[in-house]
Amino acid sequence: MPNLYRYGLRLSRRPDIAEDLVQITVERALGARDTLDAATRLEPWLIRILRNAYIDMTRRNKTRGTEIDIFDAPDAATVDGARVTENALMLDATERALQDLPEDQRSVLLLVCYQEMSYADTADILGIPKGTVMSRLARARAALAEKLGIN
Amino acid sequence: MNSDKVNDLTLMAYADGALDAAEAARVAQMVAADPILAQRLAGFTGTRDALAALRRKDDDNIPLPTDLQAKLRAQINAAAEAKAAAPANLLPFARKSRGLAPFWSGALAASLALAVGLGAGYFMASQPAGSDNLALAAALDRAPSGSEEHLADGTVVRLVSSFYNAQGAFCREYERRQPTGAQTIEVACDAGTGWQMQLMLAFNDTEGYAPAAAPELLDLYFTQSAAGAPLSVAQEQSALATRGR
Repeated sequence: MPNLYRYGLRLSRRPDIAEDLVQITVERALGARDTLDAATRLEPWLIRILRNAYIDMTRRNKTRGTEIDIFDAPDAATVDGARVTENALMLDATERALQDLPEDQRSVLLLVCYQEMSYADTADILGIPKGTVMSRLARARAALAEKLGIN
Repeated sequence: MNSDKVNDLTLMAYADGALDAAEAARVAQMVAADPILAQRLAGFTGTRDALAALRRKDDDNIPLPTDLQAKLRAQINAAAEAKAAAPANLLPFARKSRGLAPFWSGALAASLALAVGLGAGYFMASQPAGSDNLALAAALDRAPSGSEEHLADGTVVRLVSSFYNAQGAFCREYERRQPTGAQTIEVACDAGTGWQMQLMLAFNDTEGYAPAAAPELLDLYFTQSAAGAPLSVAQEQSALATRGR
């Protein structure tokens, strides 16, 4: 469940929407559980439902202009100081680079490198061929690596 | 120079651990021998690390809303009740139903005696030795599945699973070995009025716990009573936490 919520937050960038997304996901999952066979693994299935719910939501809701973006707000929580200063610059740069990517590349990058889904699961979730997942992912990472100065 | 012999997608799959062992070994060898290739690889491992760092930061900074769990639980229970109310779908059930045949099999009849019929539901308080039942009830309220509780009178209770029955009552399946040597598999449910025994299977096995055939009888019970799927560890934890109050 924390995984789903975190992914919802990454997509929507708002805690209240992420929470709604998780609840919608559970509701739809419960409604559809009879169609779930034993071979279906739960996590990719739930992530796909959540992603579709998010897409539905953004289609209906075109007025996102004034909402507060949680990832732009200063961190409310205090975490281990050393680790934060060490990584803060890199994390900020990653954050910005992620937002600059085209949507199709960002989806693939988030699912594989952030949610740690396999290529095959990602292909299922997005409903695209595995080869497309890999080529988009390679492009996304080339762009990201360049922005982060790792190549 | 091998750089041209490994394409980006193969290199990326290598960075992501998505190649089979032979292929991965081949790429590893080429990367070791070729700095340019190693640098291209670093672009893939580096971006993976950057996203992983972002995920760790999110995990550190983003608390799961505390009431979300409770809301989801209510949602799931409501769905379970709606399901139970709809006669067309009476088996929202994770365990395999094995049908009736095992029930009548000779091996089973020899090793098991069905002490209480399906859904007979008599109160634990009506059993002998009332104070033991308080200790047992406390164990059912508290102990996670997979653990063993040793009661003051020498009874050992081994918790097997938790689930909600079709009426929404919280139920526990457990094995009980009394000091006398009597061993039983039991299911008790609490609909808010205290623990009520639903099923008791007695067996005489001096060695371990449940005989191999017992799960078939239990399956029969679970199927007949339209029990819900066993709760996950986290679901059980939160269910037990609310009972502690």
